[in-house]
Amino acid sequence: MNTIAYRLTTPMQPASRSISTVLRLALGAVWLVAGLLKVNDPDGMLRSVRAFRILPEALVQPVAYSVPFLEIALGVLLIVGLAVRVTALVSALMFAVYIAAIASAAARGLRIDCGCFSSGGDLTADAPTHYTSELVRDSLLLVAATLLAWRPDGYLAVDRLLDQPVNDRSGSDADGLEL
Amino acid sequence: MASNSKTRGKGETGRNAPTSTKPTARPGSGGGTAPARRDKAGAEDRRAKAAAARAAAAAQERRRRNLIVAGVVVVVLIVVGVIGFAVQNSREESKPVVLPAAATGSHNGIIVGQASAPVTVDMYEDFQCPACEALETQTGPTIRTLLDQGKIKIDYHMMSFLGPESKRAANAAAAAANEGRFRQLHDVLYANQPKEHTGGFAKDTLLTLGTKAGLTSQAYKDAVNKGTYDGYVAKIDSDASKAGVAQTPTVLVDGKQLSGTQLTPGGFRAAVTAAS
Repeated sequence: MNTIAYRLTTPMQPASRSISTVLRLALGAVWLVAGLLKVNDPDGMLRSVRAFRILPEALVQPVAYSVPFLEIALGVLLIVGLAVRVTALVSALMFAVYIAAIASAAARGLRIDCGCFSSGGDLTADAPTHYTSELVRDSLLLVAATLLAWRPDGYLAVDRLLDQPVNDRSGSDADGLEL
Repeated sequence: MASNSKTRGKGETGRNAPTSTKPTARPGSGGGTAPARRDKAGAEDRRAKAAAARAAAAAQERRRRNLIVAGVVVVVLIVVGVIGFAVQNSREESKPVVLPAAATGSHNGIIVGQASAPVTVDMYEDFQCPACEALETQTGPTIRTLLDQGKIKIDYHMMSFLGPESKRAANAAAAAANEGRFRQLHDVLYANQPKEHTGGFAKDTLLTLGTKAGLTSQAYKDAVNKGTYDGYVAKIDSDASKAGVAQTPTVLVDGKQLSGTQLTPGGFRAAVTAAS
């Protein structure tokens, strides 16, 4: 029963929990860095979002201005470990959208910087595009977020404090410590 | 959640163990008669049922709590997005758009050259962009010759997305345009382009470079120091971006965008000849 696969995939096994913790902290760090790098350059974000030529002009500004903040919030939530399953699902959804946007830009032959970890990159005529590496990176992040949504129970998470037994009349029984 | 059921299972047995010993001890002391045993079985059954009901209630309570936390987090994410939008929006204090005198081109671009020139060239450049500097060095002389011959007029859209230095330089260029010396300052700035992202084109530098372009008036100094044309610079950049210009240099000859190979002196001359 205690095969490696069992240990890795069963929720309360230390191996599974450790992996979940690592994924959570790594994803949180990625969001935090991505958001912080962009938040101080709203103009650049406007240009990046517009450069994809997907959103109508009326939506470019709201999306460009709010996304860095959303990314920072997701990063904080993941690192703290609050509502991990929901934040992981939202993260996965965002990565899926990013992948679709970059793939669409590549398919339409646009020459743009994705503005993933910066904004309004160097848009000079001969600057190379990095669509393949951007897509690979975002796909890995999507897989990580999906895994985390599947097994959100790691260590060092606020969720574990909240997930203590309800109506615990005896107060300090083994259950509380077990968590 | 599988995790909950497992911890709950452990907890239930631990919690029930002490309470369940006491009641069973009493009937047990009265002897092992049949009704007593039935009582015992019935009591255990009841306890089991009660425990199951408690467990179910606890599980439901937990689900409810998880849902509330999830809901709150989603709402928080939305609120953070809205607040972020508001914050960035308020940061972009829209400075008044002051048009310099020569801004008579499309989207208020700065027109250089004779009005009668048959071909209009739209140039989208950034003073801090190295590829633009390369274009100016390589093809600049050809462009100047065609301008002087009256074969082309240029509609300059000076973009400013490479940091505050871009914006300062574009503001100075607008001030120069207001005095009819855009071309001179444009060429001087490209000849003295600082490295990217090193905070170049400081105001003092722009004043010094301005004198090289024949700009010594108080109006020029004031415009550079006060950022008189910051609003105009932002408008040009935003209009260019909205027009789909995603890189600099972007050069259009009579509305047709030139490819990379057409940006050479020969390629540019050929494109102009084809258009006229």
